Amino acid sequence: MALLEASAVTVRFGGNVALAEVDLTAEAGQVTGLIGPNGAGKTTLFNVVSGLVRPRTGRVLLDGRNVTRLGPAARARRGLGRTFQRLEIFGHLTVRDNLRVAAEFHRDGLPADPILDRLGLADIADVRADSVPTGRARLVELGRALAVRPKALLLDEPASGQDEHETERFGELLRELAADGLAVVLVEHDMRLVMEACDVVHVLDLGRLIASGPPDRIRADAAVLDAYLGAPS
Amino acid sequence: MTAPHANLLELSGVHASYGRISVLHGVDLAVGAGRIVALLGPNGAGKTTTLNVAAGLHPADRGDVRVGGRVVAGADPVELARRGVCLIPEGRGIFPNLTVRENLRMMTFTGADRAAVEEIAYARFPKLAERRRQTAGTMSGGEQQMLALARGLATDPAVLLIDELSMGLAPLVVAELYELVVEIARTGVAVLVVEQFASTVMRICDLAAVMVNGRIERVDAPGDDLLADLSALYLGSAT
Amino acid sequence: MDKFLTFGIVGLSTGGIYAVISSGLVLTYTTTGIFNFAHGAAGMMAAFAYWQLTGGWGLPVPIALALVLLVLAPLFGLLIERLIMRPVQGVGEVERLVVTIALLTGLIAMAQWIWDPNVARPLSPFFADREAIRIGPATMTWHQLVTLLVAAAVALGLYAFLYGSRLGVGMRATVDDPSLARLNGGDPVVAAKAAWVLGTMLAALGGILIAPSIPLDAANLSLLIVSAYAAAIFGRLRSLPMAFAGALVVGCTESYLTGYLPQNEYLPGLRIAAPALLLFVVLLLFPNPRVRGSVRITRSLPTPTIRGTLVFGACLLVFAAILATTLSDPDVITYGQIFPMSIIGLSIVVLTGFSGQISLAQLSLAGIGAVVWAGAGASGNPLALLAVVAVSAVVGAVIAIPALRLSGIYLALATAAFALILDGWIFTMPVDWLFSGGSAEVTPIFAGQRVQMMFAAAVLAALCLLVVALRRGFFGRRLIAMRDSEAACATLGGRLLVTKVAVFALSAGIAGLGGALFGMQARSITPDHFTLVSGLPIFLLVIIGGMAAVGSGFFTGVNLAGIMHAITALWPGAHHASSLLVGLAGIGMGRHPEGVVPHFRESWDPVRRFWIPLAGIVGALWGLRLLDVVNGWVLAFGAVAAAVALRELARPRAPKSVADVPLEWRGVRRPWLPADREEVLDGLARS
Repeated sequence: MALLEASAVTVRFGGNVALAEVDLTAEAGQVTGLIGPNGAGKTTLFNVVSGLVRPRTGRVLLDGRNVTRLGPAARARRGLGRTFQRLEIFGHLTVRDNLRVAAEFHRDGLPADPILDRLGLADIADVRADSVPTGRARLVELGRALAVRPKALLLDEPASGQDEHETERFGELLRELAADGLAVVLVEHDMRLVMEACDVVHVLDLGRLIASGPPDRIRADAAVLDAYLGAPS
Repeated sequence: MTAPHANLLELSGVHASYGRISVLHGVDLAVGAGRIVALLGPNGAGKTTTLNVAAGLHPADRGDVRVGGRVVAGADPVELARRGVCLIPEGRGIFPNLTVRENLRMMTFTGADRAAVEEIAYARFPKLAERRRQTAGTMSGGEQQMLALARGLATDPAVLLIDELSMGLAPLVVAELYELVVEIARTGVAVLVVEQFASTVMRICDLAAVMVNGRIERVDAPGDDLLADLSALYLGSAT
Repeated sequence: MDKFLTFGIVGLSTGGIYAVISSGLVLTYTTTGIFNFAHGAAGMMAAFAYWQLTGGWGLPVPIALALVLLVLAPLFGLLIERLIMRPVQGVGEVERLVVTIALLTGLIAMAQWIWDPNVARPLSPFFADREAIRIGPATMTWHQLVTLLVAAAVALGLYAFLYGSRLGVGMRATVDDPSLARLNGGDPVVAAKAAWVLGTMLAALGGILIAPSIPLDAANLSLLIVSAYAAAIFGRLRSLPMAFAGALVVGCTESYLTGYLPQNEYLPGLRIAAPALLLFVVLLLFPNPRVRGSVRITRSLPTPTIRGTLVFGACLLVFAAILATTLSDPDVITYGQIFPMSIIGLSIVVLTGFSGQISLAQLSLAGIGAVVWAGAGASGNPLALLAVVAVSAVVGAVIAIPALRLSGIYLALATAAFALILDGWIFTMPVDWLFSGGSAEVTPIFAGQRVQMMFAAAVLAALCLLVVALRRGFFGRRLIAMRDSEAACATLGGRLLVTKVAVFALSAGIAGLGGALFGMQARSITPDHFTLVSGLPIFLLVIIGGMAAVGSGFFTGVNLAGIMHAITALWPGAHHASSLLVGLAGIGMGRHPEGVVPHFRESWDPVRRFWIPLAGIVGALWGLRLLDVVNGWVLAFGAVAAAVALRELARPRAPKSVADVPLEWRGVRRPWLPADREEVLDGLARS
C-alpha cells in the first residue's frame, strides 16, 4: 500500500474549482513527480495533503491512517514533512537553529549537524537564515523537514533559485532520500530534474489529473503535450 | 503619426532582477504597429517579468525600453498607462468587487470618454451589456477576460501587453478571445502576448520569440519546427 | 414604553455619531491598509479647535464649522498622509500600528499642552435654544435630530461618492487591486490622499457632534472612539453599510444599558466599559481575516549572551546603588519607579519582540499584579510575590485565548478593549481587594525606600537574566520561529496554542511582578496608574528602544521614570512636551523597527576597553557626592560626560567595516558600494 494516498480531492476557491477529484499516491522508496502548467493546482494539492487547506471532498491517508480531519501539526507528527514554494524559513534564527527548533517540536527529532553536513550547509550553520541566498535557503527548508524524521516529504519547487550544478547535486540527494525509504513528492518546473529523479510522474492540468506514469511515457503523452502547448485545433 | 511599421515597443539589452536573483539577462525585442508577437518559453524564463518591465511595474536594471520611439525606462505604470501602454496581467485583469460598469469606468483614467468606452465594450461584447450591474468577480472566467480585454479595445492604446490570456479557460473561449486580439492589432496596435499554450497562440501571431533563462533564444515565424523546439524545452528532450 | 422610546432616540443619535466616525475609519483602512488608532484623536482635536473658535474666540457657529470641517480637517488629513503615513506604506503591520498609536499619544499630549485639562470647556449643542420635538410620549432635541440627519447625509454622500464618482470608484478599485489600478492609470497616491482627507473630515464631524454631550477631555474624547471601532469591526473593517448598522447597534446598546441597568455600586462602571466590552465581544464573534504580523527584515540582532547580561545586571545594581545613596527622599520615590517600569517594559520585549504578539494591556496586567500584592502581600511577606505572578499569569493566559484567533491590529484592539474594561469598570468597583473605589495602600517588602529600590533593581537584573536564558533556549527559538512563520511551525508539528498561551502567561507574570514593585515603591496605588492611556507610552518606548532587545526594558524605565522627571525638574512645565516627544519619536521610529538600543549598544561597545578609568571617574564623582562636595546634577552630567569622552578615545581608528552599516543607511553613513545594490534588492524582495 502506498505510504501517502490522497483520493478524490476537490477544492473550490469561490466559484473556481482549484482541484477536481484528484488522486495522488506516493510510495515509500520512490520519488514521485507532480508537474503541470501554472495554475494547475499543484501547490493547492500540497496544502490539502499537509492540512493547510481543507478540501470540499476527498480524503488523505498517511501510512494507512486517515488524517483528513487532522490539523497540519498532527499530520507532521505522523511523519509528513514539506517545504514551501514561497520560502517560509525562520529568518531571524541561524541555519542550525532552524533545524534545531524543528527537531525540538518532536520527542525524537534529529540533531542538526549531521543533516547540515549531508546537505552541504555546514559552512553556513551559524549564519542568520534570512541572509542565505534562495537556492540554499531551500535546502535549509529541506533540512528542517528532515530533522523531524518524516516518512513522506512534499517538496514544492525545491530547485528554483539553484544553479545547474546545485540542481544536479540535488537530484542525487533526492535519489538518496528515496533509497532511505522516504516517499518523496516533488513539484518542480525544471523538467530535467523531474525526468531524471522521478520514478513516476503525475500531471495536473486545470485542477485535474490528466496523466500518470514513468517519465518517458509522460514525455510522449499527447494529453500532456496539449496541456503544455495548447490543444491543436 | 508613427510610420505604419515603426516599432511601437522596443526593448534592448534589458536586465532585471528580483533581489539577488537576476531574471532577465539582456532581452532584445521589438513589436511593430499592427503586429502580434508571442513570447513563449518554459516557466521561470522571465516572460512575465519582461511584460512587467515594459509596463513599468518592475524596474529594469540596465537597458532601454522605448514606446513609440521614446525612452521610457524608469517611468511608473501610471505614467506609462497614460502614454498608451496597456498591460492585462495574468489571471486578474479586472477588479472583482466592482461591477462591470465600474470596471469600465476605471478605463477612463487614461483619458477615454466614459460613454465611448461603454459603447465600444458593449458593442463588441453584448454579454457585458447584459451584466453591466453584476459584480465582475461573479462572472465566468471567459466573461472576466472579455472585460479585461475590453480595456485593450476601448482605451485605444499604442501597445497592448497580454499575460496568459488562456489561463484556466476552455479552448473555445480562448480562440474567441484571440480573435479579438487580432482585431485590436489590425487597428495598428503593437501586441505582445505571453502564452503558455504555444500551439494556440501560434495560429494568430506574426512572430514567436522563445525565451529561455532570461534571454530571447530565437525569433521566428510560427511553425512546427518551433513547436518541436518548445516541447523539448517544456518536457525535456525526447532523447 | 416612553422610557424605551426616549433611550432609543438617544441611542440612535449616539449611534449616528459612531456611524460617521467609523465610516471614516473604514474608508482610510480599506484604501490605505492603515488602521488609524489616532482616528478618534483627530476628532478630539477638531472638537477642541471648534471650541477654541466658538467659545474661545467667539466666532459664529457656521463660520467655525466651515473652518474646522472644510479647512483644518482636510489640511490635517493631507499632512498626516504626506508626513506620517506615506513613508510607512511599505513596512510591516506592527510598525504601522506603532505609528498611529504614537500619533494618538502625541495628539493627546499636544491637546493637553495647548488646552489646560483643568479648565472646563462647555460646548453647547446645536439649536440648544429651540424647544425639543415631541414624538409621542418621548422628546427629541434638535441636536439629536441634527445628528441623525447628518449621519443619513453622510451615508448617502459616501454612497454617491464611492459609487458615482470616478475618484470614488478609483478608491474602491485600489482596495481591490492596487497594481491593476495603476495599470489603468489610476494614481494610488491620489486615492490615499482622498481617503485621509475624507476620513479626517468624518472624524472631525463626529468629534464636534459628540463633544457637547460629554466633558471636553483629550483622553476621554480620543477613546470614545472605541465605540466606533466596535462598529467598524461589525463591518470587518471593510463594509460601510455593516459599519453603519453596527454603529446603531452599539449606540442603542449603550443607551439602553444606561436606562435599564439596575442602580448599584458595581454597575456604573459597566456603562463606561460597555463600548469596550462590545468591541471585545464583536472581535471574538466576528471571525476576522488572519493577517500575518509581518516583521520587516532588520539587521541581525546578536543573540544576547549570558555573560553580557551578567555585566548588564551588575551595571544595573551599581546604578541603583548610586541612586539609592545620592537621591533625596522624595526623589527616591520618583526615580525609584525606573526599575518597576523597566520590568513592565521587559514584559513587552518578551511578548512583542520575541513572539510578535501585540498587547496594549501590559500596564493593566501590572495593575492586577499591584492589587494582588496589596491584598496578599499586606504583611510584606515576599512569598506573596508568587501569588502575584500566578494571578497575573493566569489573567495573561486568559487574554491569550482570543489571541489564538486574532493577530495584528485585531489583537491590539482586543487587548486595548481588555485594558479599558479593567480601568473603566473592574478597577473602579468599590471592592476591598481591588482599589476600594479609590486607592489602595501597599506594604513594601522593605520598609526603607532605598532598600526597596535596590530590591527592585535586583529583581530587574534577575528577570533580564531569566529572559535571556529563555531566549537562548528552546523556548526562545520556538517563539522566534513562530513569529517568522506560523505555517512552517504548524507543518513541522509545532503546537502554536501551547506556545502562545505560555508566552502570554510569562509576559503577564513579568508585568504583574513589575506592577507589584511599582506599588511597593509608590506605597499607594490608584486605578489611574494603570490605565490604557498611561500604558501606551510604555509600549511605544519599548518599540523605540527596539522590541527584540532585552535592554529596551530598562531603556523604557529610564526614559519614563528617569529622564522625563529630570527634564520636568530642570524645565518645569515641560511634562506635556516630554509626552509629545515620545509620540514624535514613535512616529519616526516606526520606520526603524530594530530600535535605538542595538545601535546604542554597538556605539558604546568600544568603551569596554576603558572600563577601569570609567569606573574610576564615576566612583570618584559618587564619592564626592556622598561627601556632599558636588550635587546630583554634577554627578549625573559628569558621569555622562566622562563616558562620552572615553567613548571618543576608545573609538577604533579603522573605518567601520561594511557589515556594520544597516541596509537603509548604505550610501548615507558610508559610501555606496556596487555590492550594496544586490543586498538592498534582496532585502526588499524578502520583505
